[in-house]
Amino acid sequence: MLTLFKIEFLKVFRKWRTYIGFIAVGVLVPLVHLAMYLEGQNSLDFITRNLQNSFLLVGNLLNGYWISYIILNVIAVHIPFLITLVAGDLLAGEATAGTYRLLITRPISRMQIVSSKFLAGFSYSALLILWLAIMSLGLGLMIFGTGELLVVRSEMIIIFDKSDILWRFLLAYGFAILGMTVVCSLAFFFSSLVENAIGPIITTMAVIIIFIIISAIDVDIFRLVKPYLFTNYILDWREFFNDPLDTNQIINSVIILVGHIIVLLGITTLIFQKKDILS
Amino acid sequence: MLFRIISLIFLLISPDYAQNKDPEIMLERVKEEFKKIENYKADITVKVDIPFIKMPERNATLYFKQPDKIHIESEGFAMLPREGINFSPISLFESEHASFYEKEEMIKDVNASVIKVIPLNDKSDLVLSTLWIDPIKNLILKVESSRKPTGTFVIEFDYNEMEGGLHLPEAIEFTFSVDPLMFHSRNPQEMKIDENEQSEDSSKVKTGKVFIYYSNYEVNQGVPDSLFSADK
Repeated sequence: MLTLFKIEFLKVFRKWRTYIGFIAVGVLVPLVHLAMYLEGQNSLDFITRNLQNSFLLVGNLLNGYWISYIILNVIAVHIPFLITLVAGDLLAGEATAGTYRLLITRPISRMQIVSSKFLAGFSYSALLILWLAIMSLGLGLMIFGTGELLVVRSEMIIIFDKSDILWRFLLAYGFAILGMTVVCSLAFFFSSLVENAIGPIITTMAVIIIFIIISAIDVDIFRLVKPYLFTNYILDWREFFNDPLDTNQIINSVIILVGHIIVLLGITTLIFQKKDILS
Repeated sequence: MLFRIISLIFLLISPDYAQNKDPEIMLERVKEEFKKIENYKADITVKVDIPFIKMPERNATLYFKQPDKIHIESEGFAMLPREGINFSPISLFESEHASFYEKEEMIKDVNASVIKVIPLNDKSDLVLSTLWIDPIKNLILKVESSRKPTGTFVIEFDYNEMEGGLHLPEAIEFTFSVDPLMFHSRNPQEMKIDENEQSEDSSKVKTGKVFIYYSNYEVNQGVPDSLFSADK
């Protein structure tokens, strides 16, 4: 199984499209750092303008933690699109290349094929988030240093002590990996249905866009649907930047996201087990 | 009986009594007492108790120089109430104002004189200030002030007697009205899409408190002007 995973992992990383996500993050995050280096204080002043009327703000809030938090807020919504580029190709790519038949004639079960491919997709998702963490938090702390983290929530301003931040980031990135694994599972599921990778990639993107739009429009009918959309839980990494921590909500989101992964992976396995391989 | 009445009338019209109740003289004495402190450096601990903000207790170093120069150094981020930390009786009474003695009131075991100060300058942010003054030590024990546009705030002082009989705050309790709009997000990413999720209670004006505790005073030992130039 480990050998199979290694092969699938190498297959993923031999494709050019796999590096698109890493390049995108590698270019975008330093650009955000540069923008923050030049304009970050203005942006911070804008956020705290109301407070400054009544309070003297002393100290440095423009630090690596704050910039990483902003980056995570902005980029986390778009990372799923980078995940689909690889996950949508995992099974359908074999069909496109005409290697399906060759693959399943080897002395391995279809279950093992699905599992190793999914693990390769999961590893890609995790590595992309890890890359994001290194680029935003690692580079951010190197450039801007540490300090307190200012989190502006809808009804509350929370300032976290610098000794109380790193673990929140680590858990938030961990949660982001879980969220991206759901996206990977969805694209992997669509990938098992067709024989061309473009379809699963576009379909997964379309599903995510539709779900995000439904979540954003505040009408009664959509409000009823909202709890059933996985996109509603993917961004719950933000809960790690709350005080006190809403553990019930975090656990609930984790259960829902893990549930999505199990169901999607289960259906994909079933489909692949019964799939009539013709290519 | 007649003697007592005459004595009372005599006491009331005597110049000494009139002087004791003259608010301008009282304010002048407070100002003179405050002027004895030319500069100081102190360690401060700031505790925030505001409904819409969560901040850990912060430590900082405060530098003060007459008449109203303030410089704060903090290792981490600190948020201090402008009115509380910047409060100076000199700046309060410098502009044209009218004052009148209201009553005596017991506050912190001191029979304090309550004085109202109304600025006569239309451009002043200050609308009305009520001061509770210790008439013996010439110290402001409490201030209730209404300012435009920040609203009403109350500052209560606890003093510590320094060497040379000088009095400096040991603790300040700053109470003020908190408009939830002050803390509402300007960041669209953090705005709640569903306005119904915002509690009704969150729109009401609440009371916030900031406690500042002073320690390790270094009084009249000189504070360089260069320290304040960066703050301008």
